[in-house]
Amino acid sequence: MKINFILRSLVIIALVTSIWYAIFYIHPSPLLPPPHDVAYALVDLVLHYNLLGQLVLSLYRVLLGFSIGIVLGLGIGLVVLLSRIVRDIVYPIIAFIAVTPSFAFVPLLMLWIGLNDLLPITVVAICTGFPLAYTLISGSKNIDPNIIDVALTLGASRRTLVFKIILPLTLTHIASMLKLEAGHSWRLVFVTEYLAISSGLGYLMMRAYSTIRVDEIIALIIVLGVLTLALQYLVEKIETKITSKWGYIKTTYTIR
Amino acid sequence: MTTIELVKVSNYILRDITLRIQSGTIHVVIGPNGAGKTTLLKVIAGLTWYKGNVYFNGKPVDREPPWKRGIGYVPQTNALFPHMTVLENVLFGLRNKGLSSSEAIALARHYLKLLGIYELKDRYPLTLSGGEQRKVALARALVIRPQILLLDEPFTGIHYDYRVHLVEIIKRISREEKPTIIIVTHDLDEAIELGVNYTILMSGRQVYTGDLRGLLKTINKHLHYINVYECIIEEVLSESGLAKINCNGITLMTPLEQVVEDKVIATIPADKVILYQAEKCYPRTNCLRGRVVEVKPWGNNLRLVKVDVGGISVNVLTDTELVFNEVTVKLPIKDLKVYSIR
Repeated sequence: MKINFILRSLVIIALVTSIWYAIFYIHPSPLLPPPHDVAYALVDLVLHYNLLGQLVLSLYRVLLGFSIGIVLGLGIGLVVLLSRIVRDIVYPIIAFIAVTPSFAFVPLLMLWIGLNDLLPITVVAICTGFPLAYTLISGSKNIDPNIIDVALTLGASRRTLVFKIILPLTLTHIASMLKLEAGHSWRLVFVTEYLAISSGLGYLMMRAYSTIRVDEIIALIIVLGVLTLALQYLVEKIETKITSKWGYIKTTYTIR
Repeated sequence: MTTIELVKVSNYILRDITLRIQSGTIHVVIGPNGAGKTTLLKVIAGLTWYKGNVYFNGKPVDREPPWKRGIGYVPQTNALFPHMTVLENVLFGLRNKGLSSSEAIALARHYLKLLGIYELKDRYPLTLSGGEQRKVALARALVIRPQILLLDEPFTGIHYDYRVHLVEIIKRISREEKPTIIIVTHDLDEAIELGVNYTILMSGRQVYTGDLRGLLKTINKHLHYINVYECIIEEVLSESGLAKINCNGITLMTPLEQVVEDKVIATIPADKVILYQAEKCYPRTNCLRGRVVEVKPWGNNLRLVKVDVGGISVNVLTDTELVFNEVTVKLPIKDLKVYSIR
């Protein structure tokens, strides 16, 4: 399985590279540097522009923002679920923030927070937290009402209901939403860095663009893609671990 | 032991239900889909709104929340908590009551063993069969020692062997712990086997409440998917386990394991009756020649045919297109059930 996977990846990489070379030799253009140039640019970025350091910095912003977002989202969601009055007032606000395209908040937060490290973290926290709270609350409405009914006849208090029934049962919704959101926070951090901050991967991209270094741009795209995939894979693993235990997923199906 | 009384209960589906359910008995609510059977259970459990009054032992409980009504509820979907093991499901109610862990586990073990599912205690509900899930739901409801047990279609979607077992368990619980049990069903067989008193619900209205004899007399008026006949035993053929019975002049062969009183009630669901458009009918047992009186559409592609067979009428659910007025109906022996009137 593992060897198979590595073999397949190698074949795909070889195939893409050869097509790339073919295009380069048939129709050479400064806008499409050959793969070895891109590889060289990657090495150059690592050696002279501290690519790894910038990457860690971006990753730190993503993870910190993401974690704050989870805490924020669960906090708001639980408070809303525990109190009916709060729900009626706060839920529409949460829904509004959750469904508004996240990038729309970037200019506003740029002005409010300023062009510093806090900006990407705040953007990610808000854009993870509110959709999470929204998913938690709307997910609780999708639970089989009979389950709630039975829990009530069995003497469940509102707290028990929220923590023992609603929260665990919305966990699958939350996990799949977080999976999407993990990729999304990457995008947000990247865009914020690109627009406003002078560090991080987005900044490197901005620099490559303004000096018209196509090889660097492509190298950065590859780095970003691989990282986002890895992050999603990680969240997916966690999700499967939670849900398979309850018998929701017995086997992982793959489309062949 | 709780006597339940409903006085003029109405809501979005129920209309003026006034009902008295004796403490410690099994009350069966019969009716077609959408008649409000489940809603009636929810009213008693306090899980839905209603106008009118509900009394337990003469005390009004309209303002009591579900957890203070002493209810064990098994909904049709079982509604097991999918993220908890069987044991945790059963312990849920006890933990909410604040029972000590050892006490709670001892009680849970007792009921899991009573229902024969103790060895499943560490499994998750979604890995269980439908019958096993039903038993877990029953154990979860019983373990809190409810005064009132509400069972919503407990036999639907359960394999026959399992049903027999489930009927035995419900009888045993009724005998030993004497909760007031209300069973909602559209299946007459289990209803007759379990019930003491009956209510027929039709589109939110209560059309009958009373004992079995009255139920069997009136049921044909309301529920056309069941045929019910009052008959007299003419001859018992003990070696074959069959009996010859006479229902208003029509002679039928029926299964009969033991000799009961002379007067019996024979029932057969309308979809089990076979309709032939010619005289041929093989084997000849229980083949009756009759005339079509009425044809009504039933569901998407079935029709309910009312056949007059020399004095008694036989309802048939069939998908065949009728050509002739003269038909033959066959009441297969294996689908006929005979009950003595207590």
